[in-house]
Amino acid sequence: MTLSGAARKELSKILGPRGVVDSPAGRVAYESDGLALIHEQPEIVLLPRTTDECARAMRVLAAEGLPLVGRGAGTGLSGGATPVSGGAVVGTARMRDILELDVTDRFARVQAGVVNVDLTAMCAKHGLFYAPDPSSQQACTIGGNVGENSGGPHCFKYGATVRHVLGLVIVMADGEVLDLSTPQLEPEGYDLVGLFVGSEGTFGVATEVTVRLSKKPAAIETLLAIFPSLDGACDATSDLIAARLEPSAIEILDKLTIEAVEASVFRAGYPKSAEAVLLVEAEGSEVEVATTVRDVRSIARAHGAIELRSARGDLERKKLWAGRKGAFGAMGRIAPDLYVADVCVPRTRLKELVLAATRIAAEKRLKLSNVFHAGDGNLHPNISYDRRDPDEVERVLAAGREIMALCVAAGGSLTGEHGVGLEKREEMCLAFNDEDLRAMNLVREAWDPRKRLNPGKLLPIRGCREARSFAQAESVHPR
Amino acid sequence: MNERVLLELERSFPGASLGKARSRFDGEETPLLAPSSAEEFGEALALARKEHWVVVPTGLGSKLAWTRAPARADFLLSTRRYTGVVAYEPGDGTLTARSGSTMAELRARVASGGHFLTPDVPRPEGSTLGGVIGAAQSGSDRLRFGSVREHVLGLQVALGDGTLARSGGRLVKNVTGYDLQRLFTGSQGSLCLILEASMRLFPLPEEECFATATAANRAEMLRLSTVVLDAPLKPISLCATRLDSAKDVWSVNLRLGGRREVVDDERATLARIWPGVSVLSGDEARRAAQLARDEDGGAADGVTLQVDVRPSVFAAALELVDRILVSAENYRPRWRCEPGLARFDIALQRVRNEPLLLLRTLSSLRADLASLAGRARLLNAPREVPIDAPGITLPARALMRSIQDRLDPDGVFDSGRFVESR
Repeated sequence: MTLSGAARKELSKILGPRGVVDSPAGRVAYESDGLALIHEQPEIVLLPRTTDECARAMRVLAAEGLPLVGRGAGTGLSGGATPVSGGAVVGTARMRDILELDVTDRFARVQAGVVNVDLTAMCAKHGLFYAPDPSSQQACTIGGNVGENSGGPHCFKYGATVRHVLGLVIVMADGEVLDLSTPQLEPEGYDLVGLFVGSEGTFGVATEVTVRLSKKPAAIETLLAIFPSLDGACDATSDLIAARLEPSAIEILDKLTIEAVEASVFRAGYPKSAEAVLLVEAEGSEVEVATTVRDVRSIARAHGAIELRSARGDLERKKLWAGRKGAFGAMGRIAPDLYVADVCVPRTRLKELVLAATRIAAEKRLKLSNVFHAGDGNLHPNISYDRRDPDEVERVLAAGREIMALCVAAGGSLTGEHGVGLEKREEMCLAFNDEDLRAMNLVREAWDPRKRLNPGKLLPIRGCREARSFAQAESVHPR
Repeated sequence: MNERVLLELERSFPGASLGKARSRFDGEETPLLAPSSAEEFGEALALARKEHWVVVPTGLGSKLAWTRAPARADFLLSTRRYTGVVAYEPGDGTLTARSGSTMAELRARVASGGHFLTPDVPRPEGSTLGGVIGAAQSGSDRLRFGSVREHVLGLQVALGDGTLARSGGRLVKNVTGYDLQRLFTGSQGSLCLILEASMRLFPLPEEECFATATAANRAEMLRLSTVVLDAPLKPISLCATRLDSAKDVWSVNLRLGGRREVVDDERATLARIWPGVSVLSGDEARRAAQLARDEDGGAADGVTLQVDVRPSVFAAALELVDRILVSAENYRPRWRCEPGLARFDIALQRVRNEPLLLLRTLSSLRADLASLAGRARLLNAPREVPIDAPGITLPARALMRSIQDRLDPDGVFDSGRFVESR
């Protein structure tokens, strides 16, 4: 589909020269998100500065019938922001204003393109912070976090993005503005805000977000438990959950990840001899932190931890977290590309499924490392590869599919925080049946009857029954 | 009562529990069908669709009058026989149960594994899990745990055409597919009937304590609350009730709970900030908390307004509403405040033959609250009270209608209780 000359002219008039990217060289930067395996050049990229500009531009796209994909910083890992051929990308890169900061009532209203870490930095002097902290928080935007319902290490205690979004301004598919920005304890009518969070750009483009700000805890302690085996770290986590302890984060990094981090600029002081480290943070009153850390230490020791270190001061604590959050970047030292799987499993079965993922990778001759939100059962088996090797790419994708299938069969889910996007779209039939997906589809149509917003994402193209019989036929009569 | 509906239900569901329920407001009887299997729920809804009947989903009926009385209900479809725990996973801290299970039985079940199920609603033996979720009912423990919608991990529902659909799952973290459980939570039975829910659980407090302070006036009540909220305490609940509608005297109840060492430390803090107030511990504290919780029922046959404002205007909103209610003393308003949430409920007793005065008072209350950007939500309301929902903008209204049209095109759940009735 191509955009008419009149529409291009109108868009330039609305957005100005910096708000329209239509040169081939300019559009290249938008051809994929963090899932670089899949890429597509958009017809045009639009960068509005305000809700009004966005609404006017989207009205032009609606009149042209052009599909469009919303985009924050493009750090997503499931292909949710991969452009559609012949469609537009509507990016929030120029929507970076903090519109309101209310330290008394503890909320902020920001434009969707505000970078996650900037929001926390902005309210730090008031003793407040924004809780969702994805590993990409130095780059990812609040609008993108809303689209994916992003998590992060501390969502173990604080919950994912949806728990922190109090209001939204959304531009709908036809360019109408849906203002749900007033913070409220209980929604009037249906919870449209909660429903929108995590809808992966298929319901509308969020232009403004009202977020809850949390109060900094009185005390905080970060503990690094060093294990001679990954199994020990996994078992210790399962026991922490079973003991109903409530730290604010429980993370695991395995040997390969530790080596990569320690060789990188994110060097955190993790011991290279360790097979795994468990990073646990406790927050609250002094007594609460002391009792939690005491019990974590005891459980870690019972599972063979060879050393337990508490961070000495804020600087060391920040370093330990910089290592954890920089882990994905550090993996670039191992191979040019990284496939980050994102599955969730019951926390009673951590060890078993981490082992199974390792086995799958080994069978496919792939290099696998693990760095994950253990407390939430959110695994990230990471496969290092080179996308210039088509055979290796094929093996990576096959391993990803196998890991997902295995986790769902064990009572887990396809994604814990990265979203379904393009990558897991067809796997949705592992988790849901046709009736479940039909209900989701009906709700999608209520928001966007013509399905122009992020088409082809999140929901499978074929029905599950049809897809299964197709797969069966394929296995009997391969093409 | 619609005898034809009753006869048809009897014929179609010979083994099912069939009865009648009397509406709280108009005293009319409505047939009530209580299936015991998911398939029967599907069949009952398919029959309703075929016959163009309107169905009101219910559990034990404790919240049937929430929002307002149904304008039309051909029969009530109750989950009261669809009970039981599907899966309790102590090692994972999750519970999956059929929606007709009472909150009391589920709480007892998970307590055996050291877990706590929120919300801690009044009279949990008369509230079902499905009802609590469908009405997005908060408990007195909302201050600590937040809204119930934060803890619904997944749902199975029956749609208006009788098909069953799931969303979410049983995991504490999961972003697979749309969070339809968010949409259905609080939808007051206007989109679907909830059959099964998976919930996140919390650690059962090892120790609890409970204290009641008396405040001679509203300002003192606010001061006592503020010192608690500013202290290093993590209250399970902090609720203030006005002891007499005619006098400005308040009782402030504080419930603390958690790990023993933490609660011991909090008790010491409390002794400092609330000097001279006696503090109950252990089972005594639990019993007192339960008594306080079960008093939070609102007016049995009146109107209950739930007011939410920003914390910064909480005191101003209380004063404003108090001023208006001085002229409505006939209604013997009962006040219950949650200062930590900037929320208060006012229960107005119904005075017969004075609907106009009641309407005028309500309208004045809601208009004045709007000037403070406050929201008043009706929990109990008779049919004559219009549901204007001023906070819902036209595009939001159109979208809600569009969601209803698509999920329930035949209007099986369109009883007129919810804000966007067709």
